[in-house]
Amino acid sequence: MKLKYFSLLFSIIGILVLYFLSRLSQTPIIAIHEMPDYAGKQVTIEGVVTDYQVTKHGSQIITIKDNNATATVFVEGFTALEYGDKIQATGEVQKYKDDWELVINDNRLVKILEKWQNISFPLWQLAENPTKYLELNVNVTGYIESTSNAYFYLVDIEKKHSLIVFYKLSKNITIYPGQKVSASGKFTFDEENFRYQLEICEEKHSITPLKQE
Amino acid sequence: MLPLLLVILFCVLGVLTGIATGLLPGLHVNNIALILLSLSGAIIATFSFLFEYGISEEFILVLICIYIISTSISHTFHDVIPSTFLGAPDGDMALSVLPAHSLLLEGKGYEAVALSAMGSYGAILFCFLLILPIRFIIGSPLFFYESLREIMLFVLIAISILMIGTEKSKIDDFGKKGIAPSIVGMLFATFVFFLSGIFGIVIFEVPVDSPIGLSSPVLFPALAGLFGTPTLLTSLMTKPVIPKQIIKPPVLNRKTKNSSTLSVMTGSLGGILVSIIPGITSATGTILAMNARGESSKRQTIITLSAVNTACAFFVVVVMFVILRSRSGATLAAMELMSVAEWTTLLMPANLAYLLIALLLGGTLSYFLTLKVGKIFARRFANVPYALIVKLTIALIVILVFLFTGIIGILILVVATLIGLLPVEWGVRRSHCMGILLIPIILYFL
Repeated sequence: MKLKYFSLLFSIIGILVLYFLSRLSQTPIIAIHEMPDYAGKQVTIEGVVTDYQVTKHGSQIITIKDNNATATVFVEGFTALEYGDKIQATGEVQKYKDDWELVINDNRLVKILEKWQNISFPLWQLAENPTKYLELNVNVTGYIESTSNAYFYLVDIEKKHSLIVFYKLSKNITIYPGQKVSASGKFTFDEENFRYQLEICEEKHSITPLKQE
Repeated sequence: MLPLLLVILFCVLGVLTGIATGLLPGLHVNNIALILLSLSGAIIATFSFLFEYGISEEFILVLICIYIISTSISHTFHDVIPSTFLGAPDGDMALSVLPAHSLLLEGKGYEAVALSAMGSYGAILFCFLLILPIRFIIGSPLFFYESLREIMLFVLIAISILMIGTEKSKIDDFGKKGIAPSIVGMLFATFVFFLSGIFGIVIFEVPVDSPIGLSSPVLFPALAGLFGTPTLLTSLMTKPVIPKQIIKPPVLNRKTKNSSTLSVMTGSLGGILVSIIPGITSATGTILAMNARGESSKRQTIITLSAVNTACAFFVVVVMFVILRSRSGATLAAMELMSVAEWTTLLMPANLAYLLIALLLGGTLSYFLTLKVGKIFARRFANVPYALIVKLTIALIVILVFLFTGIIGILILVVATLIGLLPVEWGVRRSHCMGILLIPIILYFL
């Protein structure tokens, strides 16, 4: 065969081979509730961190949640995470006791897609689906109303929703009613008073004044 | 005083490295920059003794950038030597003969090198004059780049159409009558363009991994295969009869002087355009410049071509400081190594000033060295074990590809070589292979 036809044929075949190679190495991105269908396979899942702990062997167990399903991710290695971070994890689906979990042997396969501080949303979004954000770090925007030394209420512009925010900040921040702020803290349920609340209690939590529109 | 001496020292080292890389056929300057970038850790370690003389680590990084930039500028001067003296086609087999090869076959190889050096150095001087004007045009207050970005999709599509539409080669395998060969030629150019594009889309999804833990640029095997190895392989198959060379500098009368100035200017502007628009290389810039320049002799073509190459290597550095984007391997490396402050005022950032020293000093040194080395080549190249050099270069490319991107990289290199052989074997322009970058970038802007 002449070289000109040879290279024509084999360049096309070569591209096809590379294409199949890339298909093989690509793991599908699936929703958490689909995990049982992928037992023993490599998959990528995405979700928000609801819990994480480090075992005594230095591995990390992360619980993540997307819409309404939760999954346990077992990582050999450590990734610096915080509650509420949106992460992507790639690993093998395995059955552990009665649950499905994602087993990852390289911590580089856990990627933080977005830090929780950067995922900010308006108050109504929280009000419409509070259980989705329960026990998570959230970053909510709204307007301040009726301040006191230990708490204030965050309301939206039509004053349709109102959320109590407790703050224990060492930093001196001046806040005044009517101010637009973004409050980042832990979203919890106060069982005694039967209400949701936002607690600004840790070093990384804060109140940031926003520009008025 | 010591910092200035170090700047000059690293610039000279860069120029010398550029001679070596420029003389190796088939190695592109972008690949050299990527290799140097991955070795930068070792270079810093080697020069860490300078800390004792009050030289900071940041300045050592600037020095490495100076080294890389002078290598790239020197490379654009010297790469004309192998492309003139090596790889000339057999007289009757050639589909198209490059201007430099045609001068070589007339015994005027040295003249081709001298013309190219003239074009390159002219581009350096012309670009130097244009730094401030271009800075005001693409940056504040005119912000030409911002406006260009909004219509970038159409600019890129227009360039692609222009590249394919100006393909003049004829393919007569499927009919020899009338305009059929021209149409087939253009269709084949389109085919090569899209094939390279699909190749580009595919390889970015292929996982490559360096077996020795170097950074793995997937474009390295792809570009080396598309533009490097095919020429090397075909040159192994040809045995041109090259006449004895006459060493005579180009004749310059008033008419050729004016004509050359025009070539340098259009070539430089083409090169500047390449340094601003993503996804096109100096090959595309040459097509643009040649179309703007109109019909010209083979001597003027050599000057234009060299001016495009050097102007591009020059202006990517300036453009990096104005739009903060890297458009070549050398600036990609520079941006990773040192802090690039945006040039917003009249006064240029200090790091740009250092790199300009490298560009001007490196360019001047390279001009004289190119003439010198070109003369040696013209006299002695009959004794050069040419086939051996080509084989060693191919081996070097294969080894580097393996070290950087592993066995999958070798596969990419092979496929890229097969694609790169298409234009050579069918006689269309190689620049259609730039679809590998253009099509993914067009898709990105869509």
